[in-house]
Formats: sequence, C-alpha cells, structure tokens
Amino acid sequence: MASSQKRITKELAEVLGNPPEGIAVNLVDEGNVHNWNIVMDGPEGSPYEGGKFKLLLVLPTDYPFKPPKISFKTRIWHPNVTFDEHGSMCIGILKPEAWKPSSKIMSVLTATQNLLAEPVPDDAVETSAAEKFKNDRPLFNREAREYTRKYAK
Amino acid sequence: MESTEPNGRGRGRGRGRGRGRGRGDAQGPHPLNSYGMPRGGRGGSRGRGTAVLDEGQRAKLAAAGKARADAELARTGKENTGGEGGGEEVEAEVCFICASEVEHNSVAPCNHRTCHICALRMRALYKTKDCAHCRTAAPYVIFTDDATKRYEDFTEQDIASVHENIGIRYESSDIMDDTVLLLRYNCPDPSCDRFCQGWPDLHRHVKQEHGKKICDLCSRHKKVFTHEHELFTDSELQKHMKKGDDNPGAIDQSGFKGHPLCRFCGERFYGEDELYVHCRDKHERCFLCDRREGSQPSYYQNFEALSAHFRKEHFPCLERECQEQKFVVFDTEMDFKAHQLEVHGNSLSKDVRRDARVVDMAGFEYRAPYVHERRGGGSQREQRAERDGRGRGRGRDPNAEPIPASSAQPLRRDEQAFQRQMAIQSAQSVTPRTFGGSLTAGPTPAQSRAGPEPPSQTVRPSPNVEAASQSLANIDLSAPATSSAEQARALRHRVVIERASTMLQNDPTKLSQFRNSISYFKTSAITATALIESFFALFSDTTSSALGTLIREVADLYEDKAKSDALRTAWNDWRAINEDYPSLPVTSNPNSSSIPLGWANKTSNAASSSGPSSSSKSTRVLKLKSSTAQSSRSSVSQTRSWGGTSTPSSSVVPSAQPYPSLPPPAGSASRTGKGTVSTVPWVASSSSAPSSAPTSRPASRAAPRGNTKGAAGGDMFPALPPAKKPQSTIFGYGSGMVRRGQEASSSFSWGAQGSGSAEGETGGEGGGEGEVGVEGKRKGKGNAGKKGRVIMNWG
Repeated sequence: MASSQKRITKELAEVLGNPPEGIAVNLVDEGNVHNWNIVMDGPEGSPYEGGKFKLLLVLPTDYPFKPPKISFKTRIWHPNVTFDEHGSMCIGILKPEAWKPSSKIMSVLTATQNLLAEPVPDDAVETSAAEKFKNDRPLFNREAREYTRKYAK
Repeated sequence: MESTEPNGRGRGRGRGRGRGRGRGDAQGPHPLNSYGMPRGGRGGSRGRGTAVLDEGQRAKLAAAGKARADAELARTGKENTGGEGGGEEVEAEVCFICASEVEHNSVAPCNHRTCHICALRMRALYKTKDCAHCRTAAPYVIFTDDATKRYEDFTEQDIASVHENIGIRYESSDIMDDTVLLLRYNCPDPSCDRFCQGWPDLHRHVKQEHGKKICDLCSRHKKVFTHEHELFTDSELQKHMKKGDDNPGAIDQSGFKGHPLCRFCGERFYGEDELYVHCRDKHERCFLCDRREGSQPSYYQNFEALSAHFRKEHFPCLERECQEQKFVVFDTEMDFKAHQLEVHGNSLSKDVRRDARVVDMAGFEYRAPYVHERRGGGSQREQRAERDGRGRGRGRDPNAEPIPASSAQPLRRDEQAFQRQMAIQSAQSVTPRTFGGSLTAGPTPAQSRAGPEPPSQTVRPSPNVEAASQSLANIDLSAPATSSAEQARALRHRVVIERASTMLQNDPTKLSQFRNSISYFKTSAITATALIESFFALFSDTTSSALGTLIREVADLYEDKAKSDALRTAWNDWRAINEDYPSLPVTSNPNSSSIPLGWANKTSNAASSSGPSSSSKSTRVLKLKSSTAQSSRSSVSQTRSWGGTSTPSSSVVPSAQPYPSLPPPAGSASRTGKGTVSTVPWVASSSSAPSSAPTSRPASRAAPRGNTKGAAGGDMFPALPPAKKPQSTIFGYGSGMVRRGQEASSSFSWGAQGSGSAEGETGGEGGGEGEVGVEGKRKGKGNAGKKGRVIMNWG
C-alpha cells in the first residue's frame, strides 16, 4: 500500500503540476489519493465539443500492478462507453491483459481524451452508437451532439 | 553469528546500500558491526528463533524499505557506502514503478529496469514474468547493483546464483539474500524481527506475541509481502472486514471498503471478484430478472429458492423433462405457451393444446386498449395468473366434437363452426323454437339456410350492406332530409331492386309481385306481417339471410318510420318464430375485422339490419342502451339481429351480452325513438314467443347471480340451453369469442364452450353484465355502427 501511494502521489503531483489540456483533476477526498475526480472537456472537432464530462478514476491498492478504473459520471453517447449510470469505458490501455505497471495516469487520461475524439467502433460496448458511427457518421455526430447538449452542459 | 558469513560481509560492503542503511538505523553508527550482525543473524536464524533482534531488524529494514525515513536513508547511505560508488546510484535513482528508491536494479532482457522489489513482486506475487515497462516476456531478469550495465553484457561469470522458479539471476549473493529475505514469513510488527515457518505459524505468533491478528482473507489473496500485511486487534479486524480502511481524511486509506459478504452463507470474500465467483458457483441467479433489470444481479441461495422464484414470478415449464433441465422458464405466458406447443405439443391433450394456442391470441389482445379499462389496477402478472388459472381450469365441452388441430387458426375455426352449425340446422327437424328451451332451429330458416347460405354471402355485396347500414344510421341520427340521405335512399332503392331481381332470377312476374307487395304495404293495404309472408312465398328459394337483407333494405326505403319499423319488427318476429339460432360462428372470429362482413351476411339472415356492425357486443350495448334509452340505429339493428338469434337463448341467459337477454328493456325502449327500432325487433321477437319475453327478463336478472360462478370463470357465456350439445358448442364458441373482449382470456374461447354446454349458459352471463355497462357507455359515445363494430370485434 505504501508503495502504491508513493507512486500515486508522485503521479498526482505530475498531473496537478502540468495538467493536460482540457483535463482538470482533483481528489474526491483529500485524504485518499486513490479516488480522483476528473473533468474532461469534449475534444474540439468532436461531437462532444463544448461538453464537460465528469469522470471518476479509481486507483486500486495494488496500483500500478493493477490498472486503474475509470468511468464516466456524465452520460455520454459514445461507442466505447456504456450509455447508462455506470458509464463504463472500454479502453485498451486499461484492459488487465494490456495494462503495464509503467503506464501512467497521465497517459490514461490522454488516451481517454483521444477516445472521445476518435471512437473505436470495433471495440464497442454501445453497439447502437457504434453502428451509427460506422454507417451514418452525420447522424452519429448529430445524436452525440444532442446528448452532449443534454447531459454535459 | 558474525563469523558465520565472512564472505558475505565482504561482498556486501560494496553494494548493500539498503542493507547498510537499514543496519545503520537499527544499530547505530557502526557500519562494520552492523554488516556483521545481520549476516550472522541471517545465517544462523534459519528455522530457529535465536538472534531475534538482529534478524528482525535487518529483515524489517531491508525488506520493503518502507520503514526507513528518507533522511535517514540518505545519511546512512552515505555513511555506509562511503566511496564505494553505491551512493550515487542510490540518491539518483527512483524506481519507475513504485516511485521508491532503487536498492538493487533488476534488468530484463529488454533492458528495462525496475527496482528488485518491484521485479520480485511481479514475479513472486503477481506471477508474471513480463517486463513491467513493455510487457516483453522476461524468463530471467538479472538483479544487479550496476545501474547501467546492459542485460546482454552480463556473462555467466557475473552471476553468483540463480532462482530458477522465479527466474532471477543474482549478481551477488548479497542481493539474493536481500531478495530471499522478502519472501520469508516475516512478522509484520515493525518492532518484531521474527520470521515464521508458514502462515499458521505466523498467525500463532502474532496472536501470542502481539495479541493481534492478520486478516486471513488478505493473507490468502492480497498480493503483498508478508511483512506488508496489517496487524489488527479483534475490533480493528472487524472494521477491516466490514468497512475496510475507509476513513475519510486519513492519509493512509486506500479506498478499500472491506471484504464483501455473501449474505446467503455469511461468508466474506476478499473482493467483489471473489464474491462473484462464489455466487456464480454456489448460488443461483435468475437469468430472466437479470435480463430484465439489467445490471442488478438477482441471486437465490440455491436451486430450490430459485425455482420457487420461478414459480412465483415467471412461467416455468412443469413438464418433467423440462424440470430436469432446470432452467426451462419463460418470461411471458406467451413464450411459455409457445414452448409448450413446440416442445410438448405431442404429449398434450388436444384441449390443452388448443388452450395454449388460444391463450396466445387472447394474451395478445388482452393488452389492447379496449380491454384496458376493464382490467382495473391489477398488475400484469396477477392478471396473467388469473387468466392462467382460468385457462387451465376450463376444458372444453366434453361433448363437443374434437376439433382438429388446424382449427387453431381463427379463420379456419370460424368456417368450421359455421359449417357445423349449418349441418346441424339442416339436420334438425322443424320444431318451433322456444325461448330458452331448446336450441332447435326454426324449420324454415334452417332449411333454407342449409343449402344456399354460402352463396347468399357472395350474392350480397358487402359494400352495399355497409352503405345501407350507414345510410340507416344517417337517417336515424341526422336530419332525414339531407341531400346525402336522399342520395343514399336512391342508391338503396336501386340496390333493393337489383337484389330482388337477382333473387327472383329476374322473373318479371315475381318482380312485379314484389313491387306490388311493397306498395301495398306502403299504402297500408297489407300489414307488415302479411308483407313478410308474401315475401317469404315469393322468395322461397332464397335463404333467410338473403331475405333478411332484402327486407332490411326494403324497410330502409320507407320514409315513414312507422312503416319501416313495423316491417323490421314483423321480420324479427317472423324470424324469431321460424328461425333457429342465428349462425353465431361468425362472431367467433374476434380478430379479423374483415370477417365481420361476410359474417354480417350470416347474421343478416338472422335479420340483422345493421350489417357488419352487429355483434354480440352490440347486444350488450343494447342492453345499456335500452337503459339509457339512447340507442343508435346501428346498435339497434344489431340488437335486432341478435334479438332474433338471441331470443331463444335470451330467456336462458338474459344478462349475457352476446345474446339478447335485453329484449324486455328494449321493448320498452323501442317505442321511445330511433333506438326503438332496433329494440323493437327484439321485442317483437321476444313477444312472438310470448312467454319468452317475460322470462327472459327475470332470467337476465337472475343471471348475474347465477353467474358469479360463470363470471368468475370469466366467460360471458350466454346461457345456452344445455339441451343441444352441438349447437351449444357453437354457441359457446361464438360467445366465447365475444367474451374475449371483456375478460378475456385465454380460457375463454374454448372455455366458453365448455362452460356453456356444461355449466349452463347462465354462468357465462354473469360476467357479461358488468361489461355490458362498460360497453354501453362506449356505445353511447360512439353512437353507432362504428363503435359497435369495434366492440364487436372485441366482443
């Protein structure tokens, strides 16, 4: 535990000291470095632009040997995020079999941002969104914008 | 002790930063001594408790390095390492993975480096030999104190010892010692340097020596070195189990929320994953609820509990083979029935099979808006259950002929029923029909109907009928003089003439006779009854249904309401006397709206003026109407048709809707107004059977009571006299259909039959009453044919 806290503290300092553009981080509870609140701006040029998405990042006690968990607290209509209260995100870097202890939270955050900008429909959890993304991009964009306006303003 | 490992000491001096530091802390400023002490301690300590102090301290310090303060580290490091060069490395390097200072380097074949602790953690605890940086497989890593030497530059000579199982090559035995140290069962107590033989030993030790406990779940699952475990007092352990270290504001909380509990077993599990595995293996989950409720898993302690749940909330298949399979359960009755038919179709009795099929339809329609208000607030499930019970309880009339499987298709069935009825009627002798008594057919109509009837259907253009009925409605409801009414009349005129000529095979003489009769009647030269008689003589070749149509149309032609009413009344009377039950089969077809047309003909033979709209429902409506005294034409006509038909039955089953138990009220109403017209026929018919009218009334009242039973059954069976089985069957069948709208249910259609014949029609009626009320309201609103029609379908 001690070791994970050391690493997390270090990463937190990095992120706070040099926050990625469009991402704001703070701790859910000041005494607990394992739970982070993230506020992410919808990437420019994506249908999520203009939205502010809240995410929760949970770092397990055996971080960094086990991947963090990240979920959208703001509803988002996206092929790789479940469109429900869980907002579970499917992102390669966090899959247990793909996770590397050397991966940093910063890279998780930027990967998430990239996923917003570029959904990966082949890895979809929200299939209807993925279908539209693949087959009718304008419709997808319209709907995603619609939901962004509805939930993420 | 000190002397045990002289060699080690020498080697250690150069590299053992960590050790040196640790020792320094523990033992004070004499590095040399400290070197010697630990060494000796280690050597001698194997398996025994001596030299506790030395060992313990060294172990602790070296182990995770967690106990050291950075400042101390720096100091001791310098002190200890002196000019050996270890110092620089120490200060500068921090392990990328754990963010702690690197004590010894671990170099993988990919030349990625971590501290030896992280490497050991990955290999020994997480059981992975992949590089922590790039996930490249690293069958071996080299633990070294050289911060820059590449993996491939190490030669055999550089390796002091090897641990094959965890794939570690040690540059020196000092490093190996430091490493092995981590793997011992060290007591977590920071002030205790004891290490034990195994978990049981360690548990005993901490309990005896420190009065504390190690969480058993953590000791089994948590991927930390032994000395990294926590020691708890009893109460702390409880809190740890229940709440974890969730302690807002505390600096050392990890977000651990306690070990989740399986409430079935009272057992706790290390984490959600372990609990999940447990529940998956040891408990049962309702897949139907899971599907429905999405993410919230619903568990049951065992299969017994689950199957109880199935029985209560779902539709399990109770067939033996399915029970053995355990999970043959359905979310909806429809699915269940489908399964029954599909899988157990062969083993089911015909009745059950048919029930199953019927249920499907009923279930489907059950949800339709029309039925809606009738259902009250009960939940779907309750209703389903209700329906279910009904469906199962009711068989079909044992006396009825078995119905072939194909009869399952509604249309088919209608046709069959119709055919059957015709056969019956034709076979029947000509006994005058008595109310309530027997269902025997009136001789003439039966005869006439038997053969030609089907043709009559074709002959009669349904559009005309509709038009006619519509026009009727117009007349009744709107100002008679409207131009549209005029047009309609002209149209009707033509239609009548055409029809008459067709029916008379274009025989001019007869046609003129026909015209003459009509004008006689118009001028009141003859009575309506006489006119009917003359028609009957004239059209002896045609079916009564065709004749009925014609007469209805003729009646519509008279501008004098009294005339047309009189004519209709006369026709109804005649029919009531001479005709048998109307062919109800048609009615039976609940869903097909198209059918009603064809069927209208059939009904029409029974003198229905309204045509398509006439239905059992209408009768019901009628009843209401009569009470409200505001009947619309169409409704009337329907009634009438029914009246004709129903009359006989009516006596028996007054309240039942389909059958005109309504006559008495109608009679009174008839005089009132337009509604009257319709009613009148009824009345007439009832009156024709003099006793019948009175009887019917009381009966109707009585019915409700008797019905309770029937009502419960849910079918609104008209009371059919038990006497004639076959007819009753048909009847029931028709009524059953009718009924469906109301309570509907699966059971109904067939059940109706059964009940009808078996229990007596009364039972069925009971249910009818309440419904009638509803319907009546509807009718009132809708005012007429249209509404009536719809209802009918439902009916």
